[in-house]
Amino acid sequence: MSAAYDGVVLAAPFSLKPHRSEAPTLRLVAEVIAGVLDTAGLRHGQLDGLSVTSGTTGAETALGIADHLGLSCRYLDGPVLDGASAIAAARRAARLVAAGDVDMVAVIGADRGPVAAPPVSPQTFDPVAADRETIVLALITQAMMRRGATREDFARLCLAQRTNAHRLPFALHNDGPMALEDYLDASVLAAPLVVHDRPTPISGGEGFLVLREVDAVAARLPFARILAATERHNAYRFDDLQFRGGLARDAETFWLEAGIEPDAIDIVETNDECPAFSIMQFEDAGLCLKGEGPAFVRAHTLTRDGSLAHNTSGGLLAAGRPGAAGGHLALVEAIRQVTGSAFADTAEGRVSWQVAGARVGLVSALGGVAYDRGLASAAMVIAGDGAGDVDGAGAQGEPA
Amino acid sequence: MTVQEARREGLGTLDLVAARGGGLQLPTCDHCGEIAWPPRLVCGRCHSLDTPRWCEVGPGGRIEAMTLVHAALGRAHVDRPPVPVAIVHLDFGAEIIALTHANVTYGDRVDVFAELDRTGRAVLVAVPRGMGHPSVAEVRESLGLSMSVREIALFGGGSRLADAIERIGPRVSISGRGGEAPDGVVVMLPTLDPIDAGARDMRFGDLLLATERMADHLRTAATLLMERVAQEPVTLVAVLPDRALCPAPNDSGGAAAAAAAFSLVSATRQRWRPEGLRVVTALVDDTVDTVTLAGALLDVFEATSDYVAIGPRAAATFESWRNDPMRLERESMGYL
Repeated sequence: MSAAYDGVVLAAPFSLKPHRSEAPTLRLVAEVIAGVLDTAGLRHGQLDGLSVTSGTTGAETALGIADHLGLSCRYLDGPVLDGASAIAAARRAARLVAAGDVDMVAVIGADRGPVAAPPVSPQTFDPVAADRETIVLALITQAMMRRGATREDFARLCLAQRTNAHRLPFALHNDGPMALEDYLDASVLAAPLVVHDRPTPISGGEGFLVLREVDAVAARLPFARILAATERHNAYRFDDLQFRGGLARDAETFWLEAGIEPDAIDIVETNDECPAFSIMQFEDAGLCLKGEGPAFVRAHTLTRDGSLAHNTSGGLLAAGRPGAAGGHLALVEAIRQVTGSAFADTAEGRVSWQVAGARVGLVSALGGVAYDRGLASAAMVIAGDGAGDVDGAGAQGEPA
Repeated sequence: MTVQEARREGLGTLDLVAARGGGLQLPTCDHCGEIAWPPRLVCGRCHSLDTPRWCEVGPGGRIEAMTLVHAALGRAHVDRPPVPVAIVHLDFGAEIIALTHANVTYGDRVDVFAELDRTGRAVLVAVPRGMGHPSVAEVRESLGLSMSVREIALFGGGSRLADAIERIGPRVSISGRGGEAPDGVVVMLPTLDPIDAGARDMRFGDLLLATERMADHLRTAATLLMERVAQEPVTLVAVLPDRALCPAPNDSGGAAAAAAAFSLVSATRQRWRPEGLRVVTALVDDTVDTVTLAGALLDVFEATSDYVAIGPRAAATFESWRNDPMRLERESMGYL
């Protein structure tokens, strides 16, 4: 078990609204950094660390991007781990901040979409030159159905996420709930996956700050502490067909490090490349036993106002996937929820999607779909003061 | 070399495995026997630094999961959705993604083969085993992997060649006139007027004119095929004399024209391959009669290589050219 992330916090969560797709990625990155700093009330000069993850900056390195944006940094990085990038970036930045090597890191994910898949696939990988990831996810989903999952279970996740995304300014599908029939009758991509089972690529960006707790307090920022964080990529390479990700291997130590039981979490944000991947992450994280994911889904509403709020801003399926920033979307939303900042001021007034009493959140990622499975896996538990006005103002989300 | 480049190289080898036919071959680690699929530069199991070698492995396996793919289909399958795709656990211990038959279900025993699809690319195909199941041929047919052409446009060939081809199967239209849009084209470059193979005193102007005509023919043929490229795989076979690879003494004109033809075909390939047109350079020697040529040309449509040699001398010349083009030239000029 690793040392606690004492004295380091996450703050200033920021999401771009779905963007016109012709905007270059560098502009998206610049806008997210500006948005994060604006949220925090800080200036560019105060940043001395930057982590940028993007699939569309071409050959541009973090060094070039920092130069382009006029940032002078002591830490520059950009994990390229698909959905696991955000957690990996926060984890690494937190260690450096805790060690005093750097003061304040902006963790940014931004991508312009729709991002074309890289031309990697002669037909053996891409047997019919179709969306390779969709085929692999369909096969993994098939296998999960053989173990008892049904299309209605997948529909529960999709429908709940559509409900959660309702009226959210930066969600793609924010026009209200979807009917079960619409899901069941939707056009098939690769059986059993239908169009609603896969995220729509969008242009977007997400970001937040990693900084010392004293600095966050001084800047009067609501913040989230990291209770535990883990990465485990390319685990279980001898499993025939993927039914678990790397988190399953380390879940026990992970929760020991967090100092809480899995049932103590108020919200869970997963990297939902498809509903079966969310279910797999519930199981891997120990929210339920392996194989009981479908029953777990049936036992919860998964909406913000019900039991176990899942993907509270709609996740990738309802909010759209901003390319490589898909994992950032989940982590940024979790920070918003546990710091009581899940609201936005729009022309029609304030829209709030705050989960009442949310103080502890689990963020999980399973992605990087290679030949036949998702390789990248990471998870993080964060805790904040919540909205403060719900059942006992300002209660601390301290580890038990 | 990147991971992707390593894989691409491995897949080129799979093309050869499929073209050769016979048993399934996959890269296998010499040290621990792990099947490295998709192809790897080093072994991911025992971490040996020796690149896994292509070896024959048993074709048997079991279906782990199967899906019918409806969306965004590739050119070889465009008219045949949904396409069944399965994950197969091979008895030799590897998971592979393969095309299969719509009737297979979880747990079915299958045999896996490397097959060529109609674009000349290798795909893995899982065929159900045992009585009452579709045969290899039926699975191939259901997946649209059969590459036989139906409609050939012949440029520059005589009616005897057209007759010989029609006797074997496909319909032939001369210069693409009158027939339906073809799915294959044969361009006979050596017989194009005014290139007279073996002409001794071909003047420079004639050579230029001939080159322009050949370029015209290739362009017309490619344009004709592009009408069909969205619906199905199409192939252009350019036939030229084997002396394109080396000049014969006292044959500067004919050899130069043939060499120009060779370059033109290469240029045509570079131009059209990215748009889905397969271009084959077929080298023929003068011992090949019309009937043999017709049969060989139809084989070319089903083969996977971009270069083929028809006739014994052409085969020898081609082999020699591949080994050392300069040596071949010196030999043929009588310097060696």
